[in-house]
Amino acid sequence: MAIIVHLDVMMAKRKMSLNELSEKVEVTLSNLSILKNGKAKAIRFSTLMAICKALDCQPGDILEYVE
Amino acid sequence: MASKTEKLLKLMRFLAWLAFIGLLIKAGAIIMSFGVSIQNPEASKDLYKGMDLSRYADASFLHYTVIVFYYILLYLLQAYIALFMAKLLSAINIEKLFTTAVVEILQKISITIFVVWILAMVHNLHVILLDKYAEIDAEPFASEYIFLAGIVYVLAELFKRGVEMQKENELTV
Repeated sequence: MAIIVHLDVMMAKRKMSLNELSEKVEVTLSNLSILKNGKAKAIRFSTLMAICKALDCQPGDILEYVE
Repeated sequence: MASKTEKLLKLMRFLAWLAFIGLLIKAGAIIMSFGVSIQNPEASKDLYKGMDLSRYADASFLHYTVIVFYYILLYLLQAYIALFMAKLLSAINIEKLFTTAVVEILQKISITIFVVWILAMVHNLHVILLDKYAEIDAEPFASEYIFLAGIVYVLAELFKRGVEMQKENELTV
């Protein structure tokens, strides 16, 4: 039972690097890495909103719940 | 404000080291006086700053020895707690208060105080039995250590939760 983060998949689809995303969403590279590697314990709505805006996607495209 | 707290912590660390050294000296002095009292029983009347255990020495050397060792062990354990206190005050970082190191030291302090309580209880039982059967006036140790151990244990648990919350906060993107 976990939440899987598909940030890398969406970044690959949009051909966007982590550096570029970090600049657009104004979140540090280390924090984005934590999120990308699934080590994050929580994500703020503001961060999720900024990522969705930068990658032009929905929260469901980034996050997936698996049993 | 932070500098004031830091100054206070430094002062407390100094006092903890002072207590550690003082308690070691106390334990050492009792060991020395006990050594002297083996040859010269008069020394048992003033082992350290008026500590008179001659009533036990007069009754039985074995009981006297055991009781002196309770005292030595008690002061050594208290010195150990003071050492942990000094370590704790060194480990505390005002900016990042909740760390695993602090939790571990608090748990060790709590366990040591609990051991001191057990020692105090064993000593008290011993002297009460001596009072009852050999009619030697009992002088029990204070027994509030269990209360202290409980408080420190609760503090350790609170800090443990604090560490979890801090980690969670750090891993919030």
